[in-house]
Amino acid sequence: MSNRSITLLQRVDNATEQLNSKFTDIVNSAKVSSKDKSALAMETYLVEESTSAMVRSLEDLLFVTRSLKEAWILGQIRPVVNKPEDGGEGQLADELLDKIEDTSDGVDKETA
Amino acid sequence: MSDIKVTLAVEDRAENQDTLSISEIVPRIVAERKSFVDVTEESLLEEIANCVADSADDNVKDEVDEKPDESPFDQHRLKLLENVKAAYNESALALDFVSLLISSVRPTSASTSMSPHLKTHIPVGSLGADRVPAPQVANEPGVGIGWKIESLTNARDRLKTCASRLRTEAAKEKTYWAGVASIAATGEVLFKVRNSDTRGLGIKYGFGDAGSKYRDPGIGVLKRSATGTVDFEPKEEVQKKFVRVTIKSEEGEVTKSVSNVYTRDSKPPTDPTLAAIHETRHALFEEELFFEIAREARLLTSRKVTVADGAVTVDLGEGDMVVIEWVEVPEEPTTTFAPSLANLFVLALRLLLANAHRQQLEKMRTPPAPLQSKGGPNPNPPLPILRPLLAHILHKRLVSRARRSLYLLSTTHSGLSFEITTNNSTDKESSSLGRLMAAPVSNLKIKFSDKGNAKVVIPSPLQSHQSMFDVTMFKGTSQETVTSHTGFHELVELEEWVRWAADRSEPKKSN
Repeated sequence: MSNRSITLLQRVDNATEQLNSKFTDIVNSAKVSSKDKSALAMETYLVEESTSAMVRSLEDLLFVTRSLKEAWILGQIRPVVNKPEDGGEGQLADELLDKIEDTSDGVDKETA
Repeated sequence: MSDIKVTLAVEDRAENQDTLSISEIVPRIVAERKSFVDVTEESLLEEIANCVADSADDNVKDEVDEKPDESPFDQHRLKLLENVKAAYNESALALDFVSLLISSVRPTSASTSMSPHLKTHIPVGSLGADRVPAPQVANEPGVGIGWKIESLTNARDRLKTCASRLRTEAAKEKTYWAGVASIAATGEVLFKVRNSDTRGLGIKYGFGDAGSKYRDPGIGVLKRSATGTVDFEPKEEVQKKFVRVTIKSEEGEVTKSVSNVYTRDSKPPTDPTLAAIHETRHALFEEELFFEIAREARLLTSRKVTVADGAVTVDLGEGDMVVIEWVEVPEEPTTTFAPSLANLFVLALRLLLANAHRQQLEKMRTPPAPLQSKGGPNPNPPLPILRPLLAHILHKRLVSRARRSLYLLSTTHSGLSFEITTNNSTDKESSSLGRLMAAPVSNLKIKFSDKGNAKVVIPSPLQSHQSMFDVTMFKGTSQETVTSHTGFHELVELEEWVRWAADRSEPKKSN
């Protein structure tokens, strides 16, 4: 895996983790227990801050899709041709060789 | 007194003098008057009397002098000084207060920072301090709930607006990338742009990859418009102009034909962005074409090619002229191609530029020549665009003139016969442009009855190192024994020579 895909995956992970944790923060600070005013004020601020962080993570996710598209357009992404379940590397070449051999068989038969 | 007045704080002096302590006043007086030894009662009285007399004058003087100084700068300076003083005062008071407070705990260290005034008036350690427990704020659950609800509502609203914004953003992204993909599918060269001001996708619409070395590399940016569609923006503005050729005769009096075609697609793309890219590319091609023609025209001034008034004028002789201009594309361009002479001419020019691009590309592919210590040939010579065309046109005109005059000679001189062959065979593989890229060569064979024959080679008229007519004279009818070899630069010279040679071979016959 290239460095680029690792960074992109990390970005996705970070963003989802942020979304989760910040939402948990909001829910946690939503409850009103017997606290003094300063603690309450701090919690209200925390809610606000967590919202901003969530928005930023969402924008980050959008950026990931954008850079993926850009890489695709510029041909920096190679679609996986030889998947392991298809037989891995060399499978297509083997098939091609089989076909070529078939045709030469055909030619042999014709000439024979 | 007068030199004391020069100091910055004149206004403060009078009031300060009253407030200053003796310890401050005495050194100042010493600084002004030196020692007290010379001071007597009489001198002081005299001085005071003078001072009173002067003060009236001074007041008048001051009024006159200080009025122009009432500039905003001075006002601000005074205000600033005032503020600085006030701040100093405040900080001194604060230092005194803190020192006094600490003095109850650490009398020795605190007394060093106390002002002498405080020390004398208030005993050290007379101010005490103690912690006071904060009053218990009454727990008001209503307020807390209100705040929470408010903040949660805000958070909800923000997330909602953000979601809708991101949704439209995603839709815009989709249309943008679909547009980009459709452009990329047509084979356009896209690349990443990472400048400080622009980030995004760049497009290379110029002919750099095709071998062009024009100054404008033809680079643009694909931007996302407000609605999400792809906006094409060339880096350098390309003028929508095209090369127009006008063919005139009778010293430019009569216009024979005007070209009305310009480079365009036979089927313009329906996508507006793609159409804009193509249009800019064609405009760039036309710009380069005219630039190269003008560059080449400077070399051809000896061939009656002039560059003036934004047009290249080629004088073909016999009153015929070709005017090449770079003009605006008309509002309603013609879509059909009329095979007029001017249209064909301009078409040939375009083909020649494309061919020159190809040649340059070939040159770029080959390994470079070794560096020369002495200046080698011009690294950026003008491209052959006008020259091949001109060579053929002028050559053909020259040959037809030669044919005409030789025909006239053959009518008066019996036994004189001639034959002109133009070399039309071309090496097909060397050039896709046929004989246009090959230098024109014509061979002229003249027979002077049985006495002799001559072979005249007429090369390209643009070759200055060769004579216009390369004549070789042979004895008899075969081309074995060379009797003479010469070259002529003018048709008249050739005519003279042919007449002379014909006359020489004729008299014997008449005898």
